[in-house]
Amino acid sequence: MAAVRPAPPSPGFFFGLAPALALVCAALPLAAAAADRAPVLLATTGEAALELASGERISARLPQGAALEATASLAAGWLAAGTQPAGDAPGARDLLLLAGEGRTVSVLPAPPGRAAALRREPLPLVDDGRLAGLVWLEGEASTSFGVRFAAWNGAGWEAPQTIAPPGPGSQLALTAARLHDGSWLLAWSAYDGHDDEIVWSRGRNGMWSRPQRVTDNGVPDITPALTATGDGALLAWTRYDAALGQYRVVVSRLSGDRWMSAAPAGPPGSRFPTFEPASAGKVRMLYRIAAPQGWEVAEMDATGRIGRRAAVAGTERARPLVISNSDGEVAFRWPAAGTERTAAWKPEERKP
Amino acid sequence: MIRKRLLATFALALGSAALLPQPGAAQTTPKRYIAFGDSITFGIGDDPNRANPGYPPRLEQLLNSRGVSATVINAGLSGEDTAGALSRVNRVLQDGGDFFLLMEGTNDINEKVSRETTLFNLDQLAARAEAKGLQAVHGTVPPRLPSANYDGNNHITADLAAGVRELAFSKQRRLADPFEAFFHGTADFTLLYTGGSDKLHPNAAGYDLMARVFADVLTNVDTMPPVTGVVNPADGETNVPNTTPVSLALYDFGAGIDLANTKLLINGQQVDTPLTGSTKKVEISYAPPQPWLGIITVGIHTRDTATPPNTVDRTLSTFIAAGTTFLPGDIDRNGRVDGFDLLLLAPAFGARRSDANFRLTADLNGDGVVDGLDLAILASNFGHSTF
Repeated sequence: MAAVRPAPPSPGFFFGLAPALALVCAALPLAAAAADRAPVLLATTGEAALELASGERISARLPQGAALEATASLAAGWLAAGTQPAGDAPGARDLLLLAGEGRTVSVLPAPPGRAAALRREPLPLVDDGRLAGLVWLEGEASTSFGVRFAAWNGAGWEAPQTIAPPGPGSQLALTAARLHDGSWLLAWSAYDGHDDEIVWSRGRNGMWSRPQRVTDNGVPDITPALTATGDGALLAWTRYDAALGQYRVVVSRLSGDRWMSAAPAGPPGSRFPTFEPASAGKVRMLYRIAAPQGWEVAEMDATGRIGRRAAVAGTERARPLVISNSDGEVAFRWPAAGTERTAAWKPEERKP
Repeated sequence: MIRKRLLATFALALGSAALLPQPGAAQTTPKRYIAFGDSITFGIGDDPNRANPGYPPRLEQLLNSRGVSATVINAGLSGEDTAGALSRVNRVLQDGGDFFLLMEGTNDINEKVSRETTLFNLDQLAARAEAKGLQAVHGTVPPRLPSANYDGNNHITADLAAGVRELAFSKQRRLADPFEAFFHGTADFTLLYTGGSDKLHPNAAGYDLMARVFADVLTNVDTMPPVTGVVNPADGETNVPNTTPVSLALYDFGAGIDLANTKLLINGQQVDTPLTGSTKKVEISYAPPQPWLGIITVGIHTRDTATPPNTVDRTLSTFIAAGTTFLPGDIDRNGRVDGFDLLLLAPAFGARRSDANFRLTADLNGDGVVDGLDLAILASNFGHSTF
C-alpha cells in the first residue's frame, strides 16, 4: 500500500523559473527515502515545488491563488492536490489536482457537483499505486464543512457522495488508510457543540458507514492520523489531558469494528502525530514535542506497543522526513530548508 | 487616520490622564507585562538591525513614554501553537507579573486545529495567568498575506478573530485587535509584511503598528472602532436559502458602541432592525421582507462614543441567494457581464483543460478550450445584467 498522508505546508522554497506547468527537474545528491513515501511539498503556491522519493525535485507554476496541500505517490508518478479560486463566486474555491509522471504533469479535473462555495483539504486515496478516490471538505464557511468523497474510475470521477454533512462546528484534519481487507478508514476531528472529537467512517465498495465517534470525553481531541497494520489499524491523535493541563499524543487500535481505549503514546506536550513509512512489521509515528520544543519519532509494533524513540530539539514548524541512517540513529531532514539533524534511538523504558 | 491619531493622543494628554497609572510617586516599581505568543510576538521578520525585535520592546518604550513605568517581557516562541503553549505557560508565569498579553493561533490554522479548540486553549492560557494574579489581555492574530499557502483569503483568520473577540467579551478581558488594525485600519496591509517567501510575519512598520495597538489598549486610548463577530451568512456563501436572516454581533472594547448611529445596510440601503445587547456588544438580526434574490451585500455603518469617534462603514459579507442564475459570460458572478469578466477570460484565452491557466468558468460553451467561441458568448451578453 502506498503511503497516503497530508503534506503540510512548508516554508517557501524555490529553485527555478518554470512556465505554466513546465517542469524543472534536478537530481540532487540527497539520501533517498523510502521509495513509496509521498512527495514532499517544498513550495505550495506560485512556483510550486516538490521533492520526489527519489530525491528528484520538480517545480510547476500554479494558477494565481492556487495552493497545494497534499501529495501521494503512485505506481507511475505522483499526485499533488490543493485548491484554487473557483471563479464562480467571490472567494469560492475548488480543488486542484496535478498528476505527474516523469517530466510530464497533467491537470486532473476536480470532482463534479460542487454544492457549496468552498472546497478544502483534498486527500487522495491511493490503492496499490493507483488513484482510487478523493476525500475533501466542502461547505460555505470554515466552521460548516461537510466531508465528501468521489471515486476515481481510472478515467474520471464518479458522482460525489457526502460522508458527513456539516455539523454544529468545524470538521477538519482528514486522514485515511486502506486496510488489508480492502476497505477504507477515514477519520477527522469534528466539533460536537462542546469540544472536538475524533470521528471515523469506513468505506467498502464505494459506500461509507455513518460517521461514529472514537472519542466522547468532554476534552478536545484533534489532528488524527491513521495507518493500516496487519489485521487492523492504528489511530493516533492529540488529546487534551485535563489532569496534566497539557496535550499529548494518544493511540488507539482498531479491532474488528471497535476502537480500543486510547493509550498515551507521546510525552506531555506532544501533538500533531503522523505515521511515516517504516520497515515491515513496524510503525513509525512522528509528532511535535514541547519540552524542549522539537520533533520526536516513536517506533512501535502493530499493536501500538512502542519499542524505541528518538528526538531532536528545534523550532522548525515544517514536518521533517524521518530516515534511518544506521541501526542506532535516525535522521530528521527538512528538505525545504536543506537541514538535517540526527538523534540516537532510545529503547522504551518499561515499568516493572 | 493620522489626524485622528493626533487628536486621540491630544485627548489622552488632556483628558484621560486620570485613567493611567501615574508616573513617579503613584507607581514606584515598573509594571511587568508578559507578551506571550509565537514568532509574531518574538519578532521574526523585523528589521535585522534591531537588537530586540518584535512588538514587546516597542510597547515598553511606548508605555514608558506615556507615563507608565513598564517592563515588557518578550515571551514569544517561534513555531509555537496554542496546544504547545499550554506546556510552556506555567514556566513563563512562574516569575509573576501584572499583565499577560496573549496573541497566538496563527500556527494552529496551519496545523488544522479547529477554531473551537484554539479558543479553548486561549481561554485556558488566559485563565492560568489570571490564577497567578495577572490581568489577561487577548490579542487577535494579524492577517496573513494573500499569497500564503493556507488561508490566503484570511477567512479562517477572520473567523478566529471573531472568536477571540467573543472570548474576551464573555470573560470580561481586554482585547487588543491587531487583525482589525492591519486588515481594515490600513489602506494596504501587505505593506506591513516582510514579504518574499514569508507570508506571515510583519516587518518593522507592522511591529510598530502592533505595539501601538497594544499600547493604546493598555493606556485607555480608544482608537479602535466597533469590531465584528461572526457574520451570517458568511462572506462568500452561495446557495443561501432565500429567507435566511442576516445576523451579526458588534463589539467595542473601548468607550462603547454609539447605538443611535449604528445602521445595518443591505445592498447599500439602510434597513430598520432592532439592536439587542449593550454598548459593549450588540447583536443585530434582520429577516428579509421578501426572499433574497441575486447577490446580497451586508454592510454596517457604526461608530463608538469615543472623542473623536472611531467609525466603520464597510461591507461585511457578500453572499449569493439560492436559485440565482447568471448570464453566460458573467464569469465573476457579480450579476453583470462587463469588462471584469473580459479580464478573467483573457488570461485563460487559448488554454485547454489540461493547462494550468484553464478556467472552467471561462469555458462558456464547455468544449474544453477557452477560445473565440467563448469570447463571442461573452460579447453577446456584454453590458447585460441578471438582476
